[in-house]
Amino acid sequence: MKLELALEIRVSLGPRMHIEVSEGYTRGAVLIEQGTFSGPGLSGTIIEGSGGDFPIVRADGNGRFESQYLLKTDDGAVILKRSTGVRHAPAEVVRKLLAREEVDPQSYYMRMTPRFEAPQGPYEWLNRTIFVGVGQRNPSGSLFRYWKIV
Amino acid sequence: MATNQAPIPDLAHAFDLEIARGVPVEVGCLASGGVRTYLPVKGGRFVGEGMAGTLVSGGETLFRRANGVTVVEAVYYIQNQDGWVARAFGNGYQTSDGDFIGTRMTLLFEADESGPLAHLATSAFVAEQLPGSDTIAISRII
Repeated sequence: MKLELALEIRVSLGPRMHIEVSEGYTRGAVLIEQGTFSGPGLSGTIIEGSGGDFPIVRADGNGRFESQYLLKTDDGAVILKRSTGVRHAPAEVVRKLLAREEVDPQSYYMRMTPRFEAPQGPYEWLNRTIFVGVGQRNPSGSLFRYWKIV
Repeated sequence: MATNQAPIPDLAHAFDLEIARGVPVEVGCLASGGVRTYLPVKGGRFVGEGMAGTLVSGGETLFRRANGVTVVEAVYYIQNQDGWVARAFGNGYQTSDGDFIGTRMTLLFEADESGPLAHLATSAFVAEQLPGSDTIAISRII
């Protein structure tokens, strides 16, 4: 298996919300305000209001991503993106990430495994391809880079 | 020192999971446009990354779309030689044409946070099974 860079997504995020479901089990919610994506043969924008990230947040701040939102390509195709992933980092790094401070992206593990549902046509290869992603959280938003497995 | 450059990922082989599957359970053709099948796990074993043990339970749920791509949702319960259990869960695709023929999935793990398998829950993984093989090669995304 080899990795080939396929897509970059840049998003700006709304306020972070938390749902204290039970002791030790917290659901986060961050809506995507706007975003763009680009890669070989693929570019467009995130559809406003179409979703966000709803992570399971552990007591130490680490956790699991569960994101879902819609992409719209420059030629009008709508693509559903769902992703799960893992964030793991030392406590001080997590604190800075949650406070939206500048953090060295090499100092934390943020990997995700996105899936796509695309219409038949030029983008249907997304429906049968496995991807791995790396996330970078910046004070103003997030950058996700996805590699397809070839 | 901040680099402002996120890491470029790579895959590192973690372990191999040999699966003994039971008799398929056919649900049939669904109104949602595909054929649903369930493959129960009868047993198996795993070895690699300084650990070994057995596959104690699990299953694979398949949804074969009209376009020939089969969506796979898998759950595996592995147990190491000291009795610690981890749950692997994930999904992916089984393809019979195109650039790759076989099954590829991504997996996440859950494990007791005080046990020796806890490290599995701190990473994401990719799994690959080739046609004719009963073994899934599982790689850690690093």
